[in-house]
Amino acid sequence: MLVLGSWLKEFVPFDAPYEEVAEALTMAGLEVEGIFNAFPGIREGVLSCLVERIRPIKGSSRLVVARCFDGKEKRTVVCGAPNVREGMIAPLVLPGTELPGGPTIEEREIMGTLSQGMLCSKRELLVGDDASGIWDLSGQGIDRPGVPLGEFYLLDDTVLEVGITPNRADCLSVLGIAREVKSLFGSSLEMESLLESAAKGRGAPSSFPVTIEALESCRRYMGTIIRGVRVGESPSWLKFKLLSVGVRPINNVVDITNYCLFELGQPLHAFDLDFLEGPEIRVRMAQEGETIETLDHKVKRLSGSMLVIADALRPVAVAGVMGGADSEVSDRTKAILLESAWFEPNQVGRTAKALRLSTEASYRFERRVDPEMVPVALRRAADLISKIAGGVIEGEVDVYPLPYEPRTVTFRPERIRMLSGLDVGDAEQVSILEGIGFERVLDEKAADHIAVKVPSFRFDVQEEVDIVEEVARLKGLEAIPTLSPVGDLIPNRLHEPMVELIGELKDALIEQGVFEAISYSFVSMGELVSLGFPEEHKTTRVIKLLNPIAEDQSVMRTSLVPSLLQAVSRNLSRKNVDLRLFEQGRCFFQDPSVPTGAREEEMLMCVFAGKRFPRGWAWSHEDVDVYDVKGVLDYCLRRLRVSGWSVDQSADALPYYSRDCFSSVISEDGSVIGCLGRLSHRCLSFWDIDVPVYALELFLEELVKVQRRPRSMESLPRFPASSRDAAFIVREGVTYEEIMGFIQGRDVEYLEEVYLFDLYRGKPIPKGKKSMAFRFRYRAKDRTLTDDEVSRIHGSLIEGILRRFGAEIRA
Amino acid sequence: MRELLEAIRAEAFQAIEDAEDDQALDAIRIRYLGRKGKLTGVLKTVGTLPPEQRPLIGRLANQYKQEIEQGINRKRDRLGSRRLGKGKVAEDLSLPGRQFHFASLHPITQVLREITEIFVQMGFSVASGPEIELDFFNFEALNIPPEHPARDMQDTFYIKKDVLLRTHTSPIQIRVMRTQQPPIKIIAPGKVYRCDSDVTHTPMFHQVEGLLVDRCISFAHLKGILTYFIQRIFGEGARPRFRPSFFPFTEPSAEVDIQCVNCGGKGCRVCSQTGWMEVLGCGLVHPQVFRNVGYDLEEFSGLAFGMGVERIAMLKYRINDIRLFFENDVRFLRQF
Repeated sequence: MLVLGSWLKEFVPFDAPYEEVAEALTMAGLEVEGIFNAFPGIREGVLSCLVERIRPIKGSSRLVVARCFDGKEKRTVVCGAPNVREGMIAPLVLPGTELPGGPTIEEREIMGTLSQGMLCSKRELLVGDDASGIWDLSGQGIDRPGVPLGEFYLLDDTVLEVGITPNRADCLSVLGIAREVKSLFGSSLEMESLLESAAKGRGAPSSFPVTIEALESCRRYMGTIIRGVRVGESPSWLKFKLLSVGVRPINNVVDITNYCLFELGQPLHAFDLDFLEGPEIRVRMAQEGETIETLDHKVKRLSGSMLVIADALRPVAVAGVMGGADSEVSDRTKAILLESAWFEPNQVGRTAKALRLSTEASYRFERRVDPEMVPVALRRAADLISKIAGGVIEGEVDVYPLPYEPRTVTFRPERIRMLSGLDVGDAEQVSILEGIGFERVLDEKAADHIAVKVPSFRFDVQEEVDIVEEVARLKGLEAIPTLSPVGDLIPNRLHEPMVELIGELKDALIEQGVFEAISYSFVSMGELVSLGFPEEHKTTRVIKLLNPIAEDQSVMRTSLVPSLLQAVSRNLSRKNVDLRLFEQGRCFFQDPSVPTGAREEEMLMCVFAGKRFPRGWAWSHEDVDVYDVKGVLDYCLRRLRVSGWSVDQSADALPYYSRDCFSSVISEDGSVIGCLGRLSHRCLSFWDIDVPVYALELFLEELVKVQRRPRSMESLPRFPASSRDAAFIVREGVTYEEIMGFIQGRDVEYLEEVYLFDLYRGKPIPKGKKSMAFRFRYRAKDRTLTDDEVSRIHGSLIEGILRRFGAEIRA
Repeated sequence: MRELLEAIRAEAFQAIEDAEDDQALDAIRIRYLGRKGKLTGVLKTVGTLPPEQRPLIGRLANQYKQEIEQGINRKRDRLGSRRLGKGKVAEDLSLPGRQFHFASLHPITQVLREITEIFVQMGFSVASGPEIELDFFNFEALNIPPEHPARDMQDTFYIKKDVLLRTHTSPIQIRVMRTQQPPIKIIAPGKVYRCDSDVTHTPMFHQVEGLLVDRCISFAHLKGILTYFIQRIFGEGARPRFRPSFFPFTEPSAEVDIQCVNCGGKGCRVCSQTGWMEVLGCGLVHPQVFRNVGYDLEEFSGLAFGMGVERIAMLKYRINDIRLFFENDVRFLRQF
């Protein structure tokens, strides 16, 4: 909210600099987000000038061209004011300056003459109402050109921008902020002139018919009838105040209602009485389908859950939100009905939201207004209208079936001390509360309790803990000591294996040189469809957002593929071509058995593209292939101490993988814990990727259930080993896994380790075959094996392999 | 005699100092220590000295001989001219080394881990909850009824009427309190979502929630825990400022500011001239929240806090555009 400094000072005079007031407000919970000059352009942009010479303009009877000296340079200014004369000291608006609420003055040609600025009246500067001619500054004691006017006049005022949290609607007014300043600086609150004005504006009881049909939604409705008003332009001081808080002046009646809204926080509305049928007022629910043209000249269709102000025939305002165009106050208006009411916050909030209308009025009603301020604001406005727009206050109606009952809150000073951590005595607590408008209520019942009457505007104070807040914020959070909590050493009862698994896997991937990516959890439907699953597949049966920011962020991801391929694609387009990326995050699936209808699964995916090694003199320059991601898989599972897993190459490839390069990863107990392979061209082309991309996915919800081998040491061997090599020529169809499975199945005595050390295709190996060279290592725990022994065991194993796979030994 | 020796020594050292290559050093050796060298010449005349002077001068001459020899060797080392033997060339160790792949965790994960670690050291456990949440957990149980203006503070993504993407990690508080009795001491990191997108807002970001419920927990404990945290994460010199604020699920509520890391508190564009930057929100758990989970208000009190991880990462690493976090450009990721 914007607050004009001079306006604030009308209620709470202070001498402290605004910075100090701002700091104090901020530290009391009203964060001052900015301190500005009310009209920054004026400060530098309006100077006193000397009118040196005046010449008529050819072809104009009214306009003259004045040569002015602004203290530095001479300017020509076209002027039409009757009182401009040579030797006059007058205000000159320099080009580029924005007048308050008016246009920005620019250099321009008028009737063939260049006008380099504007000479102006008091009214144009909003420092007075005289618009009859140029303001003669000699009467102000300014006798030389070049004096910036901003520093001399009202226009050099300050505006504070205060952030008001939803609980503090009582501070959405000058008066509200003034109450806070008063309690912080211990000064007095000047209410006299306000109350005097309100007393004058009080009308005699009137019999004007007002009925509240929806008592739940409107607790109080007041109206004042004023006849004989002259609607016209507002005086400068009023315009100035409104403009300083960003409100455009309309006419004197409307401006006064806005003025009281900003001053007192109570929204008001003025109806043209002659346009009210009856005339009467009915506060009722709208009829379904009823329409109203609101002040913004849009026709709104109303629903039965909206509250309206109606006359005998039709709605004339959406209650608490906006008035109707029909009964708008205009130049022709002679008589008005001024409304001041209390509407139920949720009612106004719902309606404003449904109509997509947020106004200064709805903003305040939604956050709750003070029912006791309703008459004060009404009468204050009536008084100002009769003063400024003329007219006679005919009478006032007040429909208030259930008057406000002051609320009493009881608190225990000891509890306040305990919760706040502040050492603040009973008496000090009471005096802090009294400073902000609470009143102590004597209550003989309990010795350790204090009861206070809550001021009507502090609807946020409901119970003891709210008193803690008041005492703490007004005493200052700075004053609270900093303590370490003391408690029993209780072991963690929360142990989430998934959190640990994710941590370990991320570390493993970093160690393997894979960077972590994080993407939005929402993707486009098109991206998920492009993965190629059938319509009924869980990947395609997505959870949609009702209100996405954009179509490409409209469904919750069911796969990490779109996330990572977006990242790959973006990097490729930025010429980052060697990519090793992983992402760990949740995917979201429809599941009616979960209360939200959504099951969340932790997933991990890793993609490789480009060169295998860092580019540089010391490395070979091959491209990555599927064995690079396979290596990452081996490493991750080894680091997790998961053993007995295998790949299943017979599994059907997921549709976005190439069929000739895909495998599932199976745990020892048969669950599918992941998959890997090369992504298909069709899939990659959706993201405009034209390089091979290899991928590894881990299904963490399954992986987390897999048993992990405990760490346990094996003794180091004490006797030497013997190694034997053998290269087999086998059919292409024979897999490494089959051969290893066969060897392990034989349970060969003393065989300690076997590994593939060479894989070769090409001459002289016949087409359709490959050579696989293994190294076998034999060792006994308790002695050195003899050469004969090793040869015998090894020979029989080789024999077995040759027979089983129809292999030949490569010479 | 002694003066002569000292002069020769000084002269020799000056020559060593001036020598620019091996040849020059060889020449110096010959000139002073060679068979016809200056020092050798002096040694030869020792026999002609009176007997009582001989041992002294002899010892001095030998000492200087050694010193000159050492000086020549030191200089030779300095010139880097130790011979490698014929045909051998030294390894060029200025070439870049062969380092395996370097990679790092996403800066958000790094900051999350750092935050988590600090609280775990203080005895907090780590909890988690769903990202697709019921309205009840995200709002109602946290004392934010429908139509409460506080809902305007958070633009919510909806899935259906009562199901939404959580707008903060606070629903995890409720989930934990509904299943456990105090004492409770948890933090809950995770992704959260709000319909908002510009230089300082992304529709998805990360938060860490904290909750401590026990007997006699006060605002002073909140200050104690968070002051320690802020000083661990932003450095010992960081001075947090607690400023009253409003959250529906805490009372009293506060926001915590630190002095602007950009201008040191003088006021700049980054901190909107205030000199302060908001880093987290906190407060004592609102009694209504305790009522909603069935806790005894008189027996227990609690404190809660929540912070945006991106914001802390941006402050720590001086990142100026929040969107960089989710573009996954490897040139960005590599910097952390």
